[in-house]
Amino acid sequence: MNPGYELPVDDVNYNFAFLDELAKREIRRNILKAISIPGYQTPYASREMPMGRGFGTGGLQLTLSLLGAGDTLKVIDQGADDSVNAVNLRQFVELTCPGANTTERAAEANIIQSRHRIPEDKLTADQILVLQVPTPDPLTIVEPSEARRKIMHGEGDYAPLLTRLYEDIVQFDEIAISNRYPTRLNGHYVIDSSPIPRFDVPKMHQSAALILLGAGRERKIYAVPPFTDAVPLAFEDVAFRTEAFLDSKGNRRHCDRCTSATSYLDEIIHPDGSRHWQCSDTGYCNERRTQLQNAECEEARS
Amino acid sequence: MFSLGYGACFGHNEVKAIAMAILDRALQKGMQDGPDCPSEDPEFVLLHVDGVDSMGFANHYKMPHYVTFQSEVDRLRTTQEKDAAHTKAQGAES
Repeated sequence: MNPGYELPVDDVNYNFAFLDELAKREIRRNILKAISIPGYQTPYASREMPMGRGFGTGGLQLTLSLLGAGDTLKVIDQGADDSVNAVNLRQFVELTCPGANTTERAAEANIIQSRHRIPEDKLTADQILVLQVPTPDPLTIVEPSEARRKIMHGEGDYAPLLTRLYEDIVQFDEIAISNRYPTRLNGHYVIDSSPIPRFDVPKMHQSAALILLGAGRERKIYAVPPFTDAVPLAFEDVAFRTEAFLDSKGNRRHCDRCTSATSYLDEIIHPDGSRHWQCSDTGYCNERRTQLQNAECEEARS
Repeated sequence: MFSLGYGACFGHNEVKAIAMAILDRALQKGMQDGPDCPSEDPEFVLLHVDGVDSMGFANHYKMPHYVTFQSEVDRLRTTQEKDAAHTKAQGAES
């Protein structure tokens, strides 16, 4: 990389938020439709973005059409603020949205775009969470034709999906879906919950914040409206289970940095072969660490 | 059983040729037995085979996936533990 290179920001005149106004209007209308029919995959004309499909173009188009001057954005990539996708998307927004702020604290942001994590801090009704989605349709694993999947969704025909879960139980004695867990919204449409871990799926249920999901390549927008039932598919006798993070004695593991025993953890293997566990949500972890350090300082002083 | 797919393109671009061959094989299988997954369905493939779109998906694998991977590992360990316990119980019975 050339360290002397600077983006010729003054020479290019991007429209505010990169997209043209007509594109933003179309996306906003589709967002409204998606909110009105919880879980319905609203088709939209996904625009070409200056990055490849698969890098969050669906989520980014939602964010850009929502963002205005004075808004504060947080971007998350696999829980972290400093991961490659988060850094690049944040820089892109800073470049094309003058007047919009960015932050690393979930509580400060009113729009949060996230690659596959819901923040540990409880979101409020003033916040919008935008999730990036690779495969918007949970029925893809049982029905290849989109035309037929659309009919199945309309009829609420999720029997093949439930059969797939049952087959897992027969084969593995456990539902083997790790992420992208199929979740039923408001008693009808089943959505692909995007590749968030199962740990985050219960956070969608009756969430105060609006959750928007955008799939750029598949050209679909869908939503979990605020205070809507979101129930992961399961059976009466085989319950839905989140990642447990238990050690060999059955105790819940905790984060090495901030001691949290309630967060989603990343397993890190050090060069000497030892295993360590750390919060995947860096914003949450850093804040807790600062609080702990402050408390220690106070203790030392008194 | 193995079967063949074909892909040819200009330049030193093996990855592209291999990708084309895999896709060709998938589509042929779909035509023979009816599609089992989207990549065997021409409807899906034609919608996604545009260069920029498909390249983005292949390239996105270089981004970190540790949250997703952790989730996969959790399922793998749980099923393996259950399987081990099951085998042990069966061994005790016989």
